[in-house]
Amino acid sequence: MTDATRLEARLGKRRGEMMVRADFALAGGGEDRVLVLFGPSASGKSTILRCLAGLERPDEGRVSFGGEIWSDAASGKFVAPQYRSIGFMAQDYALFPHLDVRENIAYGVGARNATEAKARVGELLERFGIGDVASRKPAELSGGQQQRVALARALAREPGLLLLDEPLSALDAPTRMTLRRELREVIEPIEIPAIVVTHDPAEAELLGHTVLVLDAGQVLQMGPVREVFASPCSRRVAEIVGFENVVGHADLKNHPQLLSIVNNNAENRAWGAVCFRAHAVEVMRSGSGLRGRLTHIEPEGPLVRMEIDCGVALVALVPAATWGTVAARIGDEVVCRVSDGAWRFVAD
Amino acid sequence: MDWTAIFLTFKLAACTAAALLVLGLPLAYWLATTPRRWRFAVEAVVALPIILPPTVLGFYVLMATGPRSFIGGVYGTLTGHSLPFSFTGILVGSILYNAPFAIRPFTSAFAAVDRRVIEASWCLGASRWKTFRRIILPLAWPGVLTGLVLAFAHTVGEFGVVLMLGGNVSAQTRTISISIYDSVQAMDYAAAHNASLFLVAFAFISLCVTYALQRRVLPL
Repeated sequence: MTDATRLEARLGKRRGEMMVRADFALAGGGEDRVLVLFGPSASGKSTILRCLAGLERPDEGRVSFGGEIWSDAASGKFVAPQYRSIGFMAQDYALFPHLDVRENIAYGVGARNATEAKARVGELLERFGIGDVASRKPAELSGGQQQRVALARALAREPGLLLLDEPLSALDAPTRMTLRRELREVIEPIEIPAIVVTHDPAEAELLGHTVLVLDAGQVLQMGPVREVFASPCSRRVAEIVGFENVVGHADLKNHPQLLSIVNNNAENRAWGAVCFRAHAVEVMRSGSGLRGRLTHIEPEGPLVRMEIDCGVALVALVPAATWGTVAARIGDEVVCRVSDGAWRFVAD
Repeated sequence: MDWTAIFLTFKLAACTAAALLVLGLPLAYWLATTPRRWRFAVEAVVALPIILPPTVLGFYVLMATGPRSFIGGVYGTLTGHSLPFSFTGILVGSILYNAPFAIRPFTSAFAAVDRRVIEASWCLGASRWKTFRRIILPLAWPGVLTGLVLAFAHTVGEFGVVLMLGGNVSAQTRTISISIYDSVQAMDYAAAHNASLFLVAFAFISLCVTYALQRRVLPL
């Protein structure tokens, strides 16, 4: 199975001033068959996905799938999207507005005899739980139903590679939570390799096995999602994967009290910054630790987000219940402590 | 009422609209999708008849299709007829003169079709032709219909090009607007009134249909 579904991509695509480059391989069957392209907006992740779909022609490199060359800049070979075995789901689903749900799905089923095609559509309608809305137009569906129709349509012609561009970004936050799980349940049992573009860390962690972190067109780090998200290799990756606190080497030198974060063992190591997440910061009214002034407080659901000026601004995220007992106000002096083992040294 | 002229006018308008559907759709699709930088030049040529006096267009088409011209010569050898002062002659002029009224709405309708929907169709294995037939044309249909109604209606009211190219041959080139001109020259104001009122009513209804289409009031 692995050879027939092996995707190899080494490509470069000019995007205005920026050159988007990526080099990776992916195969179906195994644990690591879902790859997440992760990065801030305009980092080039959608461009890579579009190159794989054949909607853009790479300026450099070569893309092959199951041994078949899809594009090769050197020889000029280029296979149109129609002839690639892909299921592509666009950001806003791009459902055909004038066709109903059944027709949308049937559109992708392709050329077979009528009975077989009908059976396939019926099977997909049932599998995705959209049989009862089969004769509705996309505009009459909820966001979740639209996503299911789009997925069913993308899988209708039994593709060898699934490409999902920001699958959940078109939805409101509560729906996104539910559909994230639903999407995972759909992707999990499929044996084919899948590539998901996202800028949401929670989405990446739930859906992906491997992540490729992109910034300004360059791949900064690639590896298992959990590993990359826990141990970013550089300062920029730490920022991209959502570390709220990234303190540079120079800052640490200028504010000696910050050294307590890293248990004072910073001296003899080659590193550029230390990073830790906001929820690893404990805030107290007194005691030993980093002294700073509270500059900002903001409720965030069951948590409270705050900024503390300890020479550099640190962000802390504490449970509202805990915060109630601290009872500090903006301008008050507080003490911070970073949980042991919650910080990482990263390169610059 | 000059029913021969009315029938001829509607025949000319129907033929013009049909010809523009066949010739205009591919050109409009090309204009809406081409990345070429000199597209503006083609757009300008298509739009020229909007600002050119009909006499200028009529004059050049007359020169280009006369028996001594290349086109006129070939046409004469093939059919044994001459283009000027014939129905085919005014049809050629009419197609050129009304092209912008059909092609411009076609083009904006095609350009308004969501690019991602088109790409979704390609990624589902549909050829460009199937995509055009099943996705683009149905989505652009109100605009295409608007273009056809405008081209038809504008042809009905055409005067200058027909006069330059066709003269005033009954059942061949005498359209309703020429007939009105004739009636006025002959001081038959009653006939001119009837025909004019007919054209006013027709123009009003056509525009109502066009605007209703643009607001998608009419079911399609």
